[in-house]
Amino acid sequence: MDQASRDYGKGLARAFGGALLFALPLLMTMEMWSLGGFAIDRVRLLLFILASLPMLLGLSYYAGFEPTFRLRDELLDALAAFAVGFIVATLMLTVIGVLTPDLTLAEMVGKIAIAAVPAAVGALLAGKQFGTRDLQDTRERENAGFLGILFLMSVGAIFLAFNIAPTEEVMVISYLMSPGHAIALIAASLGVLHVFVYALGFRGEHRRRGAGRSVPTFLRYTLPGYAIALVISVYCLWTFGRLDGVALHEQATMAVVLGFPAALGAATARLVT
Amino acid sequence: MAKTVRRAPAKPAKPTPAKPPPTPLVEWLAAGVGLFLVVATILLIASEAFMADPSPPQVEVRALEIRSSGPGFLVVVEARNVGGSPAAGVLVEGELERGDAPPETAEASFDFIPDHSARRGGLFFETDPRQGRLSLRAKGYSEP
Repeated sequence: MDQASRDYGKGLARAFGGALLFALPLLMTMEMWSLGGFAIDRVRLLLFILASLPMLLGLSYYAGFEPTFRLRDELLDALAAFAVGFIVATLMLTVIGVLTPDLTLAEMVGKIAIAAVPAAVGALLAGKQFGTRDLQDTRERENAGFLGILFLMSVGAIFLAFNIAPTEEVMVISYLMSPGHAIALIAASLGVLHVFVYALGFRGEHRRRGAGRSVPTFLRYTLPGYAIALVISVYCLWTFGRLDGVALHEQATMAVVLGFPAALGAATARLVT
Repeated sequence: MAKTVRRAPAKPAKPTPAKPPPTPLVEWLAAGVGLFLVVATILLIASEAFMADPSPPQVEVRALEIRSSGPGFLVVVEARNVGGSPAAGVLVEGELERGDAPPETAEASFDFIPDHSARRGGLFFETDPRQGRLSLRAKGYSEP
């Protein structure tokens, strides 16, 4: 085996570790088994899988387990990450006794697929997180640009929101909260997002316009970041069928509840990726 | 640098004299597995989403075996959903008629029975079901 293959093998091993680490909370969440198995509307599940592919591709560009910039390589990395996520989800769900022979094939694939996507995200992140980066590579990725940052914010938001959206707690919390609580949570979400974006900044964003000035940062990053967090929250809740048959004000409260972890995910996306 | 590493000739398990691929074989393999899984997953879920039989759940219950269980008896049952939609919370009731005595009933609930699938459970009776007339039926379900 030559050096390139060996390096790739190491990256792949890290990817397996990352997939397990990132997807374990979801793999051990009871709602995920029933949601993936039968409770999610199949059209929504299909949309989620289809939407995850460009996301994995984009993430591969910023955090692939190989330092690459060529589209073909990003595609290969994204596909390999899906394979890793799928295999990790399959093995883990089998070991904990969720996948049993009496399930139909469609049920099994549903349970696996819904967890394979976050596991694939973990696989891609681990490649970068634990990997050794050469300088050229690092420079390339840190100049993510405005759209790149918004993309990474979305991935961060979807990652954290997706971990919490399947649980019933989102619904329960929204019932516990009064409108006053909801407004306070919106303020807290914006505050957390702003503090992360403003004080910590995004890696490699030292020279960005408006850096160090609070109001431009708020308008340029915090508000779009929170908008992304809310949209991602609504999307996750819709995918899991949590919004079906629920009154509009409850839907809004649930979006705000899930919007908090989503905002936190968006804010810390650059720390993780 | 990545690019020079990448161009190093890959040695596949079986040495081929042809032009060396620019990407290690393992990378193609891993991506190939990924492509297969992506396509298979999408096709399977799509076929379920768009070609599913929309008929309502129809649960048929039959006894698989009757055995003694402690002081009573166990009837192992199989609930098969032959309809096109999945059913959740399926309540199965067994009624045992024994001559003039009031019938003895036992219930079991099945969390989830997918369409065209079967799940197993058991009903406990105090009297031997083989001595009477046992009827089994599904009483209701909820949409998952």
